[in-house]
Amino acid sequence: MDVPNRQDDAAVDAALIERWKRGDQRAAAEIVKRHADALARFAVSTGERDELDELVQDTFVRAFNSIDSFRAESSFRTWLFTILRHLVLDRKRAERRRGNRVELEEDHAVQEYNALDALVADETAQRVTSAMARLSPLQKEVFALRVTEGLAYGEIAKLVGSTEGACRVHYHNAMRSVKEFLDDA
Amino acid sequence: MMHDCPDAMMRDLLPDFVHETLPARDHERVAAHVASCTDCAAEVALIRSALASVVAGTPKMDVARIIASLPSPSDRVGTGGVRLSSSASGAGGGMRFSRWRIAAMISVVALGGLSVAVLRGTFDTAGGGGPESVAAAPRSGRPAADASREAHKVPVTRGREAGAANREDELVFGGGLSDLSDDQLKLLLQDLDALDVSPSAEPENHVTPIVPVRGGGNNAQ
Repeated sequence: MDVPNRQDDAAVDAALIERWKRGDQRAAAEIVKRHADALARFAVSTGERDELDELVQDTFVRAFNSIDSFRAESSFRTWLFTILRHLVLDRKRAERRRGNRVELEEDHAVQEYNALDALVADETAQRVTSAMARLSPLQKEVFALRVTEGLAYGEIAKLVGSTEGACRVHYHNAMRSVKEFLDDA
Repeated sequence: MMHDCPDAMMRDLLPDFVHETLPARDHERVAAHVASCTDCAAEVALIRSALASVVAGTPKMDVARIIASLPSPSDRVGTGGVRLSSSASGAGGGMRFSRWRIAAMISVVALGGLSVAVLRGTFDTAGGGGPESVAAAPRSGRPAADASREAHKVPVTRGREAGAANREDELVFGGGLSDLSDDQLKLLLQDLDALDVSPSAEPENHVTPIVPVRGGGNNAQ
């Protein structure tokens, strides 16, 4: 099944990258505007809220520094997600070495997301957020990329280093878990 | 109670339906299904809620600050500019490394050649080193130019002869055989003969020859 909107997006990104390579700094600004919020959403939906601005900024800096290594095998946004994901993993590893990070238990996860209650107006949305917080890290990533970003399973598989079939299973298991949590709540 | 729609293919398309990334025909087909399927309608509502909660819970990014932190196109990896990311690698970095390596190799070769030239020059001026230059130095009447060779004199004590005779002949490195007089050559030959009879410091190998003995076998058994 073809996805025309994504192809258009890829063409726009490719044109902006070429413009930036030729020295047009405004093209970089366009790229940031197109993808910054999506990167922030992905980070938040996987539980990363600390120093979110720095995380997204580092992602762009790293991407623009090594933009020649972007081969357009996936969409530019997926490539940015991959960079952000690596930065998050590096950050978690560093925090674990310092002993600052406590692995999230279910109660911790719920408390963490309860802090967002003021931002989330809809009660159902709050419960969905709590349900998502209970997912395993991989389920959380797959669910977020599929539901909040609308990525195809193939792109998600490349991003998380898995197979398309495995990602489909992770997504449906995550959806079932969320439904069960909402039924119990 | 929320249930899963038995049409797994349709369920797979629901996130794409919400994001409106389906082609028009597929979008209409899914919309028609959702209108008649309460499970899929509930799942679509769930997806919309999840999306809304994440959007609402995500702070707005400071785009201007991000843009200000970006490198200019000439700074990126592979253009010989500044490398901001330690993990980034590119062809430019490899090329710079190769240039350094070539420069280092040239320096090493040049230094090696210079060292060899200097050493050769030193030996040449020190006395034209060669086996034939070993000679008995004349005891008198040497020209002033040969005075420097005095520093290289190597006194040789000739074992048992040293105590028996009062000769103070010395072997030195320098000059050539053609410079020596007949007497000096004769003296040198005597010195060499004396050296030949000196006992060697190395232990000698004593090998007992193996010979056959009567009755078979040999004397080594």
